[in-house]
Amino acid sequence: MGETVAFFALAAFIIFGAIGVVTNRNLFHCGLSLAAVLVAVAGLFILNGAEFLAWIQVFIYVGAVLVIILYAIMLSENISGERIRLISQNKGIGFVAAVCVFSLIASLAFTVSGLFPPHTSTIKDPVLSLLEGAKSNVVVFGILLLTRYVLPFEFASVFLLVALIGALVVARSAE
Amino acid sequence: MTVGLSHYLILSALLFSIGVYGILSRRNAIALLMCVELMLNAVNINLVAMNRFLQPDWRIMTGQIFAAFVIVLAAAEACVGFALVIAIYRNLDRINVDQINILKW
Repeated sequence: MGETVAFFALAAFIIFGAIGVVTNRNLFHCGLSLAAVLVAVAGLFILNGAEFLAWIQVFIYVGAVLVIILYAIMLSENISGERIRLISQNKGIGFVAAVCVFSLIASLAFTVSGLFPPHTSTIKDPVLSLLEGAKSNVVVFGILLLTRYVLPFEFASVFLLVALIGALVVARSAE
Repeated sequence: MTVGLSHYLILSALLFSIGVYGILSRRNAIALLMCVELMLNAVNINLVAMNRFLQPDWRIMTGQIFAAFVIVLAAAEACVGFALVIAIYRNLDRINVDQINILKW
């Protein structure tokens, strides 16, 4: 019961916030609506037992990505010297495409969620022997990240370094 | 009424299609990147919900780890994307994507 109430409250936050992101005229207000959406998504993560991911979401998305977005908004406003008013165009085409995408994904979701029953394999996952006695979400997350998923983990760090250098090179002024 | 997997799938489909609408109707490059963030979040909701409902052992959290990598990707995308926006703005003094046509020859 409590989960149902929480889910629908968060879902309302997410949907109205997302509509705010795509319809607001003021770019700064769009960024603030995006913050509401991201926090509500973090709430959904907690609802699904992904506490560590919820904190990552709050720290990285709301803390870092959103600050970058607000910086970009303020910098571009400063360069032009005038406030940006957002104009939407192609509203009809956009709406039709969005409805098409939604009906496609929703019909797929209803088909797929019946196709895959919960995973009930009798073969014991070998990684479970490492997770013996692990009680919290964070501990399991860390162990998995440094054993089974160590290669993607290292790749992600190199990837972030490349993105950092790339952003510096692109945003640097010419002289 | 209990919340099942299909509720989460429908919610994330709605969020994704709102992002699609935003990408098609907006002209400002920063607003476009924000809509990309919306769509990435829809994917993350899907991954986490599937991990919970289809994997009975909570310790096998493949979906959550995948979602964490999507967040890493989103951070890199935002960083490079906004650097590009700033560079374009500095060089061309415009930010609407339909006015940036120097690649058109």
